[in-house]
Amino acid sequence: MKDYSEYSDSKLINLAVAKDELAFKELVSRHRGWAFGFVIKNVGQKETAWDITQEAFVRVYKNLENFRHDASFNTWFHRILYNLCIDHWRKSGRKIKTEYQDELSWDKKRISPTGDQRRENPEKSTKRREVLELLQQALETLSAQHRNIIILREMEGMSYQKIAKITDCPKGTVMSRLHHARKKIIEFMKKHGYSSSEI
Amino acid sequence: MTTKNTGKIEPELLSGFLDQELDPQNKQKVQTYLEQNPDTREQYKELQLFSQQLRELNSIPVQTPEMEPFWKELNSRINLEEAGTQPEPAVSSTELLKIITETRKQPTTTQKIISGFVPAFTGAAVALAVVYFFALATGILDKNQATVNQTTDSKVNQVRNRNTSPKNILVKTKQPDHKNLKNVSNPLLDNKLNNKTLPQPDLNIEKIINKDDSCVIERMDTEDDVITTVFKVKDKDGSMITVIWIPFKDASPTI
Repeated sequence: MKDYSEYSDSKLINLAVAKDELAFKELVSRHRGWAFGFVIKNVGQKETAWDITQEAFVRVYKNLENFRHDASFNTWFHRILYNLCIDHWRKSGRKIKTEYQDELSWDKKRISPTGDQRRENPEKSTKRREVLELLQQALETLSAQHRNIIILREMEGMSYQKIAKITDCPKGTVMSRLHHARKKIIEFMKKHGYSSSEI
Repeated sequence: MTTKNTGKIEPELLSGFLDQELDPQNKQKVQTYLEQNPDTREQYKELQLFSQQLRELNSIPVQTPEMEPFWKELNSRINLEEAGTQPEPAVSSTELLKIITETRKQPTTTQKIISGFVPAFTGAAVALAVVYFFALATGILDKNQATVNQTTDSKVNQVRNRNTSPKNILVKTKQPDHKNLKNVSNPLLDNKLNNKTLPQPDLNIEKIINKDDSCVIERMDTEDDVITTVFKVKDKDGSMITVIWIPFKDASPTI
């Protein structure tokens, strides 16, 4: 069996276009993890995230020939995922408070504290957990665009330029949307009695 | 992005500054503004702290889906997509459905002759027989299953509406959930239409579906209180077989 693990995404795509199934499988193997992670942060439910990630790969497969090799596969695929998440939100409204939040119910085993957090006293630790829970709730109140932009920037750590490519809007719009999303989160936190001084 | 003439900065520049995404000119402007405006400095501090907290949400591990089941399902979906784009057969399932529905109206002999019913019916019967024996031969359906089993427990399992095509409805068998069928907005499966009780969906469908990973329901219609379902199941060689199911009250389903 061929080993494609050293091949670049671009090369894998060329092989997949030529109907090399193993090359496409390598592409799926390589990108399914982060893709699923991105989607689950967006839609909340594991099952829905699985579905959307699957659908995204189907779209990749169907459009392999259209992939422009001067762009990164990662950005292209992110864009497909982003659009599917936005579609999902449009269809399902904003009812996303589901399993992912359950996962984020701060089971201590699931969250590995940083060195600083380990030294925190229990009271402060509880407070932090409450803040993070509220932040998750705040995210769920955002519009699809705002939520996505927060995820892309704060969780995926992307530059404005990359976000602009994925969301297909100018860099200035990214900054503006990001700022509004952040303000909404802060407003939500304040409404629930939290201020920056309490964190 | 530029600053306004009023001397105030556009609020979003604070986010740009926080993310180190401003050009040197705007960066300098924001920096100066922050030094001179304690209120804005406070806002900036809030942005900074909540931004850090949001990043912490990302530290929660998300389990990567296992490759083999993920790949298997992906392959099925790709096959379904590809099957969906294949050219229509000489007699499409919709045409067959129409012919079969017509047969149930039992027109008069004169009407049959005028409407060309007889040749149409003959053609349909031949086509159905081919599909039926093909299904038998490939093991998708066996004769023992071809019996009517009216039961209120009949469940065609979990249905997920595909985003790509309203025609493509993947029926999975892992997690029985009748509610999901209703989510497809198909009133036929509510068993009631116009306050009349309709026949229950036949268990044979479930049995057929259970024979394979998935099937595609093309359409479901009702006439004279009978639900007619046209669906496709994937054969072992990947080709799709059209199955038309009509739950006659005292006969086997039509395949």
